[in-house]
Amino acid sequence: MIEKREILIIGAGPAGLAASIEAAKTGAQVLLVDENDSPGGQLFKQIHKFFGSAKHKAGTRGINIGRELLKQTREAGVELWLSTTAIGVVEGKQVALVKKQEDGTEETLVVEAEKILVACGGAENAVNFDGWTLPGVMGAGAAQTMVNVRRVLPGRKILMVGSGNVGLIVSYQLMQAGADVVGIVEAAPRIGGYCVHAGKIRRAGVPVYLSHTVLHADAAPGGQEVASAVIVELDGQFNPIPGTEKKIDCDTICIATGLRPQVKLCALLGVRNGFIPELGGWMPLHDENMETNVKGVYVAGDTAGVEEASTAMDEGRLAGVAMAQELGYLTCWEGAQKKQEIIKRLQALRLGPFGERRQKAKDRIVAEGKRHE
Amino acid sequence: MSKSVDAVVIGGGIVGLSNAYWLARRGLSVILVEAGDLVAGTSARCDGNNYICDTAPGEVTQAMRLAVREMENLVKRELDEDVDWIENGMFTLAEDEEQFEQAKKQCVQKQADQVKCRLVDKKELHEAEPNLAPDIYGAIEFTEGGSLSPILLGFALGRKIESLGGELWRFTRVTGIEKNPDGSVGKVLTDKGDILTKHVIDAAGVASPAIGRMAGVEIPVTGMKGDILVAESDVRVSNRYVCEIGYNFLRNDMALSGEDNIRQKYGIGFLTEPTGANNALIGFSKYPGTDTSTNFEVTRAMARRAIRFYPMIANVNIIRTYAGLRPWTPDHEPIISATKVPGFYVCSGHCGSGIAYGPLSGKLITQMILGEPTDIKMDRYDLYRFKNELL
Amino acid sequence: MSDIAKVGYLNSAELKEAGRYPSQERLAKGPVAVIECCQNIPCNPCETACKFGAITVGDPITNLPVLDESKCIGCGACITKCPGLAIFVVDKSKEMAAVSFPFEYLPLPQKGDTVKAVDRAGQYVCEARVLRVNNAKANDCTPIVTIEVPKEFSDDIRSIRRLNLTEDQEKAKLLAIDDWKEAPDDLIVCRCEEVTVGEIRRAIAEGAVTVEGIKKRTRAGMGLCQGRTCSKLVSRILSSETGIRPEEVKPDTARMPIKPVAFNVYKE
Repeated sequence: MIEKREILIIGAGPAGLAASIEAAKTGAQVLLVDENDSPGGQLFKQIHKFFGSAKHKAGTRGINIGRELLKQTREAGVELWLSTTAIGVVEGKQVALVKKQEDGTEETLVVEAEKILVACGGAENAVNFDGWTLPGVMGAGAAQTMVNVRRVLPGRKILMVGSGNVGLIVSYQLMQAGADVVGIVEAAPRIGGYCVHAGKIRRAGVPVYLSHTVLHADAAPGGQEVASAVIVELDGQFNPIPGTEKKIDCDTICIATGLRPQVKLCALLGVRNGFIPELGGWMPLHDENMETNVKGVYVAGDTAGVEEASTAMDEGRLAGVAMAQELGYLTCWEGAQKKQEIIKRLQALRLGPFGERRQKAKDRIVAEGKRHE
Repeated sequence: MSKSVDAVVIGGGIVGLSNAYWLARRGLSVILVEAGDLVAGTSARCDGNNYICDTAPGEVTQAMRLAVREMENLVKRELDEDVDWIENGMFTLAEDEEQFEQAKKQCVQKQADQVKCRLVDKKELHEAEPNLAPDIYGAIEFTEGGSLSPILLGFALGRKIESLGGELWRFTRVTGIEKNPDGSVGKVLTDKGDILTKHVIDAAGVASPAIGRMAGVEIPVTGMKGDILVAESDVRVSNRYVCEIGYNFLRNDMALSGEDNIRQKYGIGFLTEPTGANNALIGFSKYPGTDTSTNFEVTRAMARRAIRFYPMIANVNIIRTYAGLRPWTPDHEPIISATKVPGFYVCSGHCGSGIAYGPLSGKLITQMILGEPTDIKMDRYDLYRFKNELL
Repeated sequence: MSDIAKVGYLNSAELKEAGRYPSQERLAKGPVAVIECCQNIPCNPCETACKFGAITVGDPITNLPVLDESKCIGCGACITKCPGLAIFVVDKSKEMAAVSFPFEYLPLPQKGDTVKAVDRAGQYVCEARVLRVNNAKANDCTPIVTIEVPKEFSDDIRSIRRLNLTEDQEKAKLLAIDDWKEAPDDLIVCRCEEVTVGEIRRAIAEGAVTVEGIKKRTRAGMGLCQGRTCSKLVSRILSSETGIRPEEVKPDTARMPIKPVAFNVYKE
C-alpha cells in the first residue's frame, strides 16, 4: 500500500524543520520524517549560541532554536514521523521508509509525494592514522552527541583533530562537560574555524598545534584503548617531518576533519551530483529554489553542501516556499516575495572571509546544474 | 598506429576472460577489450554456482559435466589463486511431501543421467542445515561441482591472461568492426586505437547484440534480470548452496507454480549461497530487464521467500541489493558459434550459466579458431539454429 | 600584527594598535566593553543587545562591531549575547581593576573566592578575587564572572582557570620523543571488511581506477556500513596514487537499502 502526501521531507534537522513549517503554513500537506527518536537533527546538540542577525535567531542557543521550530511545526500542522528511516526509492517519487511502531517493531512503508525534500544532513569524514581503530577514537559529532544528548563523557583527556568550527565548538563543549582537551591538531597552517571559537578554547588553556597531524595512536602496554597519541609536524606539502614527534597522553581522540553531504538517497532519486570541494565534495546540484535536476526533488542543509545550521534553516525555508508555490499554495508574487527575503538573509550569512567562499561555491552548484540542463 | 593480433575478445566478464585465457594459453596473441573494468557487468551481479543439478538429460548434462571439469581444472590447477572455491555439495529443497515425491522422481532421473546426487531425508537435512524451517521436508543433494566467487575468478583470469602475454584493454570502447573486401573480419576500431585481427570473439553478454550489429551479425540475446539480496556477514545462514526445488523444475520456464502473483510475474524463488566473506547471497528472480536497478516489489517478495525457508533470516540485516542481466536466448542455450562473417565468433547468451560455462566456452571457441575438433558437438550452440522460427 | 588565525586571538597590544580597544582615559572612568571580535563574520546580536546604542555593526552584518565608548556604561548586557563570547568589560576606575568575562563552566566560583586568573592563551597570570557572579536568567546560561586584578594585568586577563580541572589534567604535557613510524602497509582503511591501505595500493597497481574497481578487488566498502566510513579514504588514496583528480573519482553506486534493514522489516 502506498501512502500519498503532497510534500515529503526527509530529515527533521534545521533544514527539514524550517522547510516543513514554511510549507505547512501555506496549507500544504507535509509529512516530515526523521530516523532518530527525537527531531532536531544537530540542533539539539548545539548548546552554544548562534551567530547571525535577529532574523537568524542570533544569540540564541541551537537547542532553543530547535525547541521553537518544533513548536512551530506543531502549530503549522506538520505530520511528524520519528524513528523513520528512508531506505531507498521504489520508483519515481515513491520513497521506501522503515518506521518504528509504538510497540517497538518496525515496518516498511512506501510514501509517494508530489514534492520531496531531502535534508538528511552530512556524514563525518574519517582519518586513518595508525591506531585509528582503537576504542577511544571517534568522530567529533559522536562525542558531541555523547555529551550533549546522551550526557555521557567520552573521556577525560581529549585530543581533537581538526580546528574547524566543529573541532573548536566540540572541544569547548567537552570541557564544559568536565573533560579536558589536551590539544587541537590541525594539518593546515591556520586555524580553520572562527577565531572567537578559537579564543574560547585558547583562554581555557588548550594548545593548537598547527601544521601537525596524528602520526599514531597507541594503547598503554597491555591495554586495549587509546592511552596516548604521537603527533608530528607537517611540511608545506602536508608530509610528516621525521624528528618532530611529540607524545600526548589522551584517552580519547576526536576526529573533526569535515563533513560531506549524504548523497545516497538523492542518487537513488536520480539526482545529478557535482563535485564542490569547499562544501564537502560530491553533492546534489540544485537551482536557486533548491530544486534538483529531478523535477519536484529538492535538497537543503548539509545535504546540499555542508555549511551551518543557520544557512540550513534558510535553505529549508527557501525549499519550503518553492514547494508550496509549485503546489499552488502561494501565488507567484507571494512566493517570489518570500524567496527574495530568504535569499537576502542567506546572502548575508555568506558574507565575509568565511562566507564568501561558500557563496561562490553555492553559485557554482547552481551554475553547474544549469550547464547540464 | 594499429596493433595487430591473432584475436580480439570483446567483453571482460567471465566468458570473455575465459576466451582470452584459452586463446593466450594456446599461443595466440590476444587483446581483450572491455568498455569498463573487468568483471563489472553480469559476472559481478550473479551467484557462483557450478553444480550439476538442473541440466536437461543427455547432451546438456554431458556438456555441463565438461564445463565443470574445465572449471575445476582452472581453479585447482591453472590458477594459483584462491577464488573461494567451495565443494561441499548443494541442496535443492522440497517444501512438503508432494514436492519430496517429485524430488524422488527427479533424483532417479538424474541418477540415470549419471548426475551425482542422492535424496536427503528430513532428519539428515536438518542436521546439515539447522537454520532451515522445521517443516522443510527433504532435499536432493548434488555433489558434482562447486561454487566460487565470480569476481575473484575474473581478476585471477585477468592476471593469468597477462602472464600468458595477452593484453587487457580496459575502459576501452569498441566503436566499429571493419571487414576486409572478402567480407571477413579485418579490424576492430576502439577509442584507444585500432586493432588489426582475423578473429573477433563477441563475448559482450547483454551488449553482444550491439557488437554483433557492428559486424552485421544479428544476435538474439536479451537481458533477463535477476535481483540479489546481500545479508550482513555476522550471521551464518546456510552451510552450503541451497535452493528450492522449484528452481530445478522450472528454471527455464517463466511461469512458476504457486498462488503468488508476484512470484509468477517475476519468476521468484529461493536460493542462498554462503560466500567466502560469510555474507549470504539471497536469490532469485527472473524477468526481462534492460538496466541493473533493483525492483523493490521483487526484492521484498524474495525476502519473504527467504524467511519461508530460513526463518532465522527474519532478524538478519539486508545490507545491499543489486541486480544483474542474464544474457538470454530464445531457447535458453548459449550461442557459441562461428558466423557468416568469417572470423567473427559469438560466445554469449549463457542464460545465467555464464560462470559455469565460461571456461568450456572459451576452450570451444579456441578449438574452432584453431580448426581443431571441438570437445562437444556444436550445433546445439550454433547462432543460426534460431533462424527459422526466430530471426 | 600576528596572524589571528595562527593563535586564535589578538593580544591587547594588537587590539590597541588596530584601534579596537577602549582608550585608557575611558577605562579610567569606569566599566567599559572591550569587544575582541576581529573577523568579519555575519553576526550582530551585540548591536541589538545594547540599550544605549553604543555598539554599531550596521550593514552588511559582517562589519566588525564599533564601540562608542562615550555611550557605553559597561553594563555587560552584550557579554552574554555575543555568540563568540568575545566581549569583556574592564573597569580601571578604582585602585584595583575589575575584569568581567563570560564563564560557561561548572562549578561556578563564588563571590569572595580566590581564583587563578589567566590570559587569552590560558596562561596563569595571578591570583584574583571574585567580585561578582551574575547568572541571571536573562543571561541564558552564560554567567558573567567579575574578578579583581591589578590594573597592569587587566588588559590581558580574560578568564580564570576552570575549577574542576584535576591535577592530572592540568599537568598534561607534550613530550618530544623519538617515535617515528611510517604509516604501515597494514593500516586499516575499510573497518567493516578489514581492508588495508596496502591491499588498496595493490589493487590500484593492478589497474583499479574507480572506487568500485577497488571495492571489487579488495571488498573495501562491501561491509555493513557500505562505504560510509571508508569511501572518502579510498577516494583519497586512489587520487593520490594515480593522480586522478578528486572530481573524477565518482562515488560508488547507491543501492537500496541505504541503511541496513532486517529481512522481516523489509519484506512488507
